This record gives sequence, structure tokens and C-alpha cells, in this order.
Amino acid sequence: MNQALIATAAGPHLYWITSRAAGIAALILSSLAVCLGLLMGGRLSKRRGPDLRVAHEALSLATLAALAVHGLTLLGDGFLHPSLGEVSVPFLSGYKTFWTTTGIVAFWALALLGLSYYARARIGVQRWRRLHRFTALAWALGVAHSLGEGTDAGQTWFLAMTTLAVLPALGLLLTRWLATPRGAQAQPSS
Amino acid sequence: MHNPPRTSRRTTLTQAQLSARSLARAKRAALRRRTRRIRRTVAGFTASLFAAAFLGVYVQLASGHDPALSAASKRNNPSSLTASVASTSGSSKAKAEAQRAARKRAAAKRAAERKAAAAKRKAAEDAAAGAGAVESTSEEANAEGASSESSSSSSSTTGESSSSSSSTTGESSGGESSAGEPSPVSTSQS
Repeated sequence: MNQALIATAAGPHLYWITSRAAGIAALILSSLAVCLGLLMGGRLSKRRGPDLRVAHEALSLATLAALAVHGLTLLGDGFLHPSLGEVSVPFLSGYKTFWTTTGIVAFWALALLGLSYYARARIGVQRWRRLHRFTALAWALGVAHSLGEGTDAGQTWFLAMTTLAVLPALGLLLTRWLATPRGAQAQPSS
Repeated sequence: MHNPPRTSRRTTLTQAQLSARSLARAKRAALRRRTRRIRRTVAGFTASLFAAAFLGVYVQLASGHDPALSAASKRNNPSSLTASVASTSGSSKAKAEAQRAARKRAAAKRAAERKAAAAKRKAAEDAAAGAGAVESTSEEANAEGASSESSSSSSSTTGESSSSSSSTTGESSGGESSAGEPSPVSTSQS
């Protein structure tokens, strides 16, 4: 009886719950991917280089998949009723336009910078490495989007989880930034 | 030019490179296995992360602790309206709607109070008018007996009726006659 009641209560919000869960998963996965990328690029981990690269790639692809689910399931939400343009084109959504745009820009930046790995021979490895550094910025935009627009952003558990996921990546980013000499920042890290 | 017999060359090459080739093959296979294992681990981690987040959000929503839905329910409940507007971290749209509803409710309350006051005033005026009519008839009957004081008594009744009606409505001009002069009742009684 209780289960039936719960199912009835949460039934109309399934798309919304799915979108929120995918967003939470994307936040954690992207933070882990950034951590591994910084560990590899900053030569902070000397062992198991190929394994780290494979894990970094898999986590990045999983992040993109979770972000796609996060955006696309919102199309079925009965409250917002967004169009495909509103969830994929910046400044088009009327709901919290600034934060929604931040999330959309973060998604496209992550997708382009991440998937450009498969075209790095064409782009040029050094140029690709320089471009790939902006992934950290896209990730930061995504974190800002989750804190600014996330339904659970005011909840203690969400803040604790975000802190746990984001702090290591921020620490590694800071370490990498401080360890790199100013003149060598334009040079490739490897 | 004489080529060495194929079989002997093959035999020497195989003998020289067999161990290296098999070693390379084994290493490649191990790398592939490791890659597959890492990808499977990441896929499993992603799926379990998504499932955990989905379950968490679902239970939170079904148990009535969802931040957005609790804000909406508080919006529908007028008693806890101000608390909901102040404390919830729900959408700005919800807050705006709640504020609009509060303003509407306050306006309706004010209108109802005004209506009640007007009805009360009208009832008091009617009661006072009825009392004045009764008093004037009794005074007229007395005036027939005492013809010398007829003029002063008639003026006193009109003054009394006006003062009684003004005391019930609470108007400041009740002590004075319509011409703005002091009430003859007050002077004669004092």
C-alpha cells in the first residue's frame, strides 16, 4: 500500500528525478575525470600511465553520457516543458536564464574539448593540449551551474558531496598552476 | 642472386623472435584486458552512481522532503506562507507566485474587514434611527400635556438622536448639529 502511494506520488516526476540523478552523477564523474587528467598532465602520478589514461577517457565519456541524459530527460518534464532549443541553446530558456546558460555552455565546452581528443592528430597534438586545458574551466562552469540552479543545492548532503568531489580537483588544479613556471605555461606539459 | 631457402630462414627468425613476439603479444593482451576491465569498472561505477542518486532523490521526494516540492506545498498552505518564502531555496518562480498569492490574500482580507465594518455601521445607524423615532413619539405625547416646553423638547430629541447615532459610528462630528452649532442636548443636560 505504501509502495503504491510512493509510486503514485513520485510518478509524475520521473523525468525530473532522472534528470537530477544524471546531473549529480555527471558532477561526480566530471570531478573524477578532471582529477585524473590533472594527475596525468601534471606528472603527479608516475605509475600506471596507460591505466590512468584509459580511466580518464572512460570517465570523460561517462560524464558526457550523463550530461546528455541530464539535458534530454528534461524534455519530458511536465512542469518546465522545455523545448530542445531551450536545453541546448544558451540564453533561450526563460527559467533561470543565467544559470541554465552556464550549464549549457559548460556542456558544449566539455563535449567539444573532450571529443577533440579523437581529432588531435588533425588539430595538432600541442595545440590540442593547450585547448584541452580549458576543460577545467568548463568543469568549473558546470559546478557553478549545479550550485546556482540545482534543486538540491541548499541541501546539506548535496553540499557535502560537492565539496568532497570538487575539493581534490581544485587542489590538484592549484598545485598544477602553481608548479608550472609562468614562461612554461604556453609549452606542452609532456 | 640466390635466396636462402625459405624454410631455414623462417626457422632462424622464429627462433630469434619467438619469445619477443609472444611476450609482446602477451603484453598487448594484458593491456587490452586491463583496458576492458577499467572501462567495465567505470561503466559499473557510473551505473551504480546514477542508481544511488536516483534512489536518493526518489526517496526524498516520496517522503515529502524534496526541497522544490515542499516549497510548492507551503505555497498552497497559507498559514506557513511567510516561512516558505523566507526559508526555501526553491525556484524564484515559485517564490514570486507565493508572494503574489499572499498579496491577493491580504487584499481579500482587507476587503472583508471593510465590508464587515460597513455592515456594522449600517446596523447601528438603523438601530439608532429606530430608537430616535420611538423617543420622538413619546416626547410628542408628553408635549401635548405641557405646551409651554414644546419647542425645547423637540429640539432636544433631534439633538439626542444625532448624538446617539454618532456615538455608535464613532464619527467626530456627532456632538454638533448639522449647522455646526453645539448640541442643545449637552447644554440643556449640563
